[in-house]
Amino acid sequence: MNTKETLKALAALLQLPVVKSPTQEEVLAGCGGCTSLHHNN
Amino acid sequence: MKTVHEINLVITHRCNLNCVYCYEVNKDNGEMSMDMAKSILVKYLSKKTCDELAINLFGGEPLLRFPLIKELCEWTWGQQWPQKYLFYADTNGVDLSQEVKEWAKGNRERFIMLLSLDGTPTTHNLNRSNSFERIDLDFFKTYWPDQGVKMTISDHHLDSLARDIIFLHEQGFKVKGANIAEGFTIKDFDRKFSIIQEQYSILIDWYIAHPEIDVAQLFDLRLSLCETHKKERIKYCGCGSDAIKVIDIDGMEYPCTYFFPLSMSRKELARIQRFDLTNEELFLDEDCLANCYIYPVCKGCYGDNYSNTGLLSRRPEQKCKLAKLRAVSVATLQARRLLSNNHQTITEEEKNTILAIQKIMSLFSFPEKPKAVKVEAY
Repeated sequence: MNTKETLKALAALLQLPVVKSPTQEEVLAGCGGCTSLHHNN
Repeated sequence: MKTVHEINLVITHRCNLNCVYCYEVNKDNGEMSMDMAKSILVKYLSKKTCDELAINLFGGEPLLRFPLIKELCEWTWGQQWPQKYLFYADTNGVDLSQEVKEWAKGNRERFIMLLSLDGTPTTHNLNRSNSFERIDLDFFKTYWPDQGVKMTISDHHLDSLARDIIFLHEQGFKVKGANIAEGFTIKDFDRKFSIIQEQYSILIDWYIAHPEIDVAQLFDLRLSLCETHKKERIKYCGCGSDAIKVIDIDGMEYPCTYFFPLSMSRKELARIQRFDLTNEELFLDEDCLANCYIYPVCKGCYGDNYSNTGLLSRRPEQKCKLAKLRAVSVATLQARRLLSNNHQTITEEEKNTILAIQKIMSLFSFPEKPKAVKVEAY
């Protein structure tokens, strides 16, 4: 599938009914990812 | 929203490896005393300032100070503190004794070890002082299965980037880090860019063929933020704030491991310290904020910006190009994964992801690579 076909298929997906996203706990971590990514544990 | 702050306690300047990309260029034999380590923890644990404090034992190689680690952790665990916390150690995992393993295994819920592992034995040995065979991979996989490994990409193995990431997945590790910004220089950029483009395309095909695998951090971008956080003044790293500190062996505090005496000359550090790093505006690039759609997912390193452009906020144009290639690659991958499912409905998150994919694909494009690479080879 090339980019044009991909975009067309995605546009079709956008026509589907939209439901609420499941709630996830968000973590605001100090590290930007450069050291250890501890918050993902 | 759970807030996690982080202190990196540099308990030793010593290291038993000499990795090709190590940014701690001023290593010596300095060590933190037990009294100093305890006094720092008393300061940070006696008052609640966030939901959880990550106490990261850092070096050099922190496990060279195992007697201090053991005593410090057990002393801390033996007391009640207002601040909730968890111990971590960034380690090269080399030559761990049975005593260290037994103790760490017994405390694995409250002492988390994060292993640095760069890919296949060839790549890892090239980057990290021939140390692959000196690491007990099963030990890390068995006792911290969700922690993953920290992979660093250096100039020396760009042409095996995909193979290295796939190797780590095949070993059963989650792949964190895997950050092009670290250990990568912009010299000879056009050639490197072509190689990276090719490697990303191999990775995309591999991830499509393995939908059960969580992608490496390199490809883990939440593109929906480009829709939901347009032009928001986001500072993505805690550098300069209370959210992250690096504390050297003498108890002095620094904003991150980059702006730190082991990594930078005293003269350069003094220059940085004249800035008020608590001022977030210093880190925000107005041009990017105003004009770049992918700004909300464009996470680089402020220290890396500074070393390349002299400004905390300004990333070099080459890395900007790499960030766009990354966004296009992630958009391609996420589009193919989305389209491989049979949807009856889509979530709000998916809707915003699709809108972002459409926008990214229309804004940025890169010429196809002429060379064909067989995915089966990996």
